[in-house]
Amino acid sequence: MAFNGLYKDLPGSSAVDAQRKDAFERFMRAGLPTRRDEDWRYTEISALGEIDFRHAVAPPATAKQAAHHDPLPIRAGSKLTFVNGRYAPESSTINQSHRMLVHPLETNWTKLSDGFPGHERVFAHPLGLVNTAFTQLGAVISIPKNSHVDTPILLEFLQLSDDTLAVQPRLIIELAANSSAEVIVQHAGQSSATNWTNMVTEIHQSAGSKLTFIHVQEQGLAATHTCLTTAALKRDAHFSGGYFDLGGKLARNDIEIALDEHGASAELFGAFLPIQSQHADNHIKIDHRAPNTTSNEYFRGIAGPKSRGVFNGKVIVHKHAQKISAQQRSDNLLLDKTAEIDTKPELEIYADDVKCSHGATVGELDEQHLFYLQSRGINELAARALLTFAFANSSLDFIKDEALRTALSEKIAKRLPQHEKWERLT
Amino acid sequence: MATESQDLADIVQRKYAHGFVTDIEQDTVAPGLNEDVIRFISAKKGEPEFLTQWRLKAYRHWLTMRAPDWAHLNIAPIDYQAISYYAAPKNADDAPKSLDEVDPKLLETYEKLGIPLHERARLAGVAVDAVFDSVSVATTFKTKLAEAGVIFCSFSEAVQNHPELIKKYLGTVVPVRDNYFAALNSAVFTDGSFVYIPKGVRCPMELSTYFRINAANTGQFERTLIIADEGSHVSYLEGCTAPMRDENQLHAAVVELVALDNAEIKYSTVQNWYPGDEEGRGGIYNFVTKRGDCRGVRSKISWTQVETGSAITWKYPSCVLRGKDSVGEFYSVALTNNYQQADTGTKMIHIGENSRSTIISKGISAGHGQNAYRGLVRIMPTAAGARNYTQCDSLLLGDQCGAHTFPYIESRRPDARVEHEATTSKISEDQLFYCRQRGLTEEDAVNMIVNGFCKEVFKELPMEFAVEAQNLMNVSLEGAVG
Repeated sequence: MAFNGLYKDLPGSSAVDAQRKDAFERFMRAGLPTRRDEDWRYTEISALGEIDFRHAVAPPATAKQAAHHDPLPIRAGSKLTFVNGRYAPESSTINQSHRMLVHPLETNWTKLSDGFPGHERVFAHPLGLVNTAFTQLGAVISIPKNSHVDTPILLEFLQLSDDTLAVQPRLIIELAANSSAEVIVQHAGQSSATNWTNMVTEIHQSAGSKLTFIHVQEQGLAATHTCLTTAALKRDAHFSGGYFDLGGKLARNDIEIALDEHGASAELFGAFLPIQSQHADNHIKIDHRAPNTTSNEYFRGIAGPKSRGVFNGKVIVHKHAQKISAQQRSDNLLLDKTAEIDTKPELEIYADDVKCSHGATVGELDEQHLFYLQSRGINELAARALLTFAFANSSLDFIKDEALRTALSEKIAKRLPQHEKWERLT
Repeated sequence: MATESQDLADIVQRKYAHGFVTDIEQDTVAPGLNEDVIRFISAKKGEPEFLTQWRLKAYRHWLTMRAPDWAHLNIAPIDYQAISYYAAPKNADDAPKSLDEVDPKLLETYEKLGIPLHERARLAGVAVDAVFDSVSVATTFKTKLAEAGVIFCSFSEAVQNHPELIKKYLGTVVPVRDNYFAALNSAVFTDGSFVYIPKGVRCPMELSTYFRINAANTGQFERTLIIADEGSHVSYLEGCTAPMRDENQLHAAVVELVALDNAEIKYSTVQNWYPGDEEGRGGIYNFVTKRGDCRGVRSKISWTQVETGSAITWKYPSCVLRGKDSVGEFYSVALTNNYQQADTGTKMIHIGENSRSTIISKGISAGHGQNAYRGLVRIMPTAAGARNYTQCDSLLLGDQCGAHTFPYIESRRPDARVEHEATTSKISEDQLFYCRQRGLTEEDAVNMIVNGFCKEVFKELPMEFAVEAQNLMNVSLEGAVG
């Protein structure tokens, strides 16, 4: 990879510059993870090192080019659009009431005069280092005390260029006490280029805050998508995160949630659908560091021909973190003989007053369900397609916003084979 | 509550009941490991050349390996050069012809352990091949087994009398390069058990071996090989206790099972080696490689283990389900108290069509114990219609202990079904209250609940073992709550 001194000319404050330098040096020492690393046992990304990515961004597309082919039909309060790795203000709208909340990074580096706030956690991750060294786009979202942002904030990252770009967005979300917000990140663009998106989202939630965070990834089938989310939750804060990986040749989500204070809670849900020679990997780590914290994970994976789905959910209950409840659910379907699912729901528990459970299944559709539909006159193909869709669709039950749920449901349906067979039935 | 806490304290302080040392002169090689030591062991046992070479090959490969560090264990560095690799009771050369010729001190040791070697063996219907340190000293029921055509002897005897079987099967399930401890064992193993069940024979009795570690500074490296030929059946029991000692003792055994067409092997273990004292000093390091190969169609291998001893347990009895319709089972209770650590579980490798496996694992942590279940279920593309069910539950007693679960599930077959469930919790106040209300002491209540928790595994044990296991649990657990 063309990892050279590029980070030197990148924007930022002097604190950010120092972090970039540190991150770059650490990364050069550590290198990209290999499959010898336990966390990367099922996912191989070392090929990224061979590709000569362009870190410098391509010229911004015009507003017209940026026209989105498959937007999420939601009434977003604000929408930030990024095209080919650069902020596209002409395609973005920031709601009047959001002006003090949503800040595109490109024009707001002053917000980071103390550097990236969550850099410790991000630095522990090899791809977090890469992002810190090279990021030059993204946003800072800060919600003040007691304010409730009732319309979602949408960030679109579109890849429309045929260049081999390495795009490194950084999103920082800060919720002050008792505030709430909903943030949706969509990665799209049917570019056929072997581009790489490596996103880092830092979430800092103060006491009593509530965040809904939805990640929708539908990049081109040659794209590599890696994304690290770190969240730190204070007393009684709640994080609800949904991860939907539909596109990309290789997608990897690292989600690290720290429940730092009493009463904090997190729910994580999602679906990953590596259907057409794709690879999707969700790596989740939840740290219960304080008493009375709860977490719930619910993921559904469907793997099609020559595809591989990976789920790794890790719950750590630290010493003295009593009265914990943690649930994990990983259900997976294999659609083809050349498909593979690897799932690893882990528990590490150092306290005794806990209720932790996990369940994992890998298999095919239930014969009885198929029989039920067939006995009602639905042919086997349609019945299979319908049940496959229903299997993935149940991961949307956590989403309260109906418009968003419907939109995601349609996107999931379109990704699955034979969807037209049952759609005709309805 | 105050007097109760006192009772609890007493029970917690209870010393290891099997802690004593029999004083016997040892014929020992100087500590250290090199090719000469391996040649010495091999020569001492009068082994054929192929075995000496096999040992050397293992040793040379071991030199290139690093001790595994992936387990959830905290292991003090082991000085392999400080271990003496050969210790045999001195009068082993003129092997005893009957029990009368056995050193009475040995018999005394067995007596203290309550091994049914004498008449008790006959009463219990158990043939005992007792291993004192590294060399077998007595084997009973030879005749009865010989009538059935069953070969049940020490590994050294098998090398002398059945070299063709050793050559054919040794290292085919656990190759010398398999892992660090297996390679070490392959290089320096001194003895163990060998079982061969001929075609169509149902072994007339349960086979049992009691191992006992005795000499200080002597790692014990057993090698067990069990072959069940077509249509045969055998149930094998392994149980261990060890004398109290301050230094860590390394124990790296290898057990290989081979089940051919329609054969069934049931392997049960109760492991109660010295776990170290209340401060975590001393105790056995138990690094064991156990693997069964279901080679034949409809073959079945079932592992049942009750692990209550050892300072550190690193053990994954596994099944390679090669045969069509083969079955693998793993039932485990692992208990860690004081400063014990356990990283144990199983691997089920599904290769054959319609192969099935069941994993039931119960982990109990008390005191400062750390207990990890680590398991792999792998469905290969050839394993059409394979089925796995895994349940691993952990029970926590006390707020200083840890319970961990690391299940790996890898499936490459759409028509295979894999299910995994796990729970971790402590004994609920409701359960305790219910029992206390009916007049049970807290101790009895905890015992009862824990035994209920382990029942699914205990019922898989042969009768004699089930009783022993329950008693073991009671002794090891009482006082852990309070």
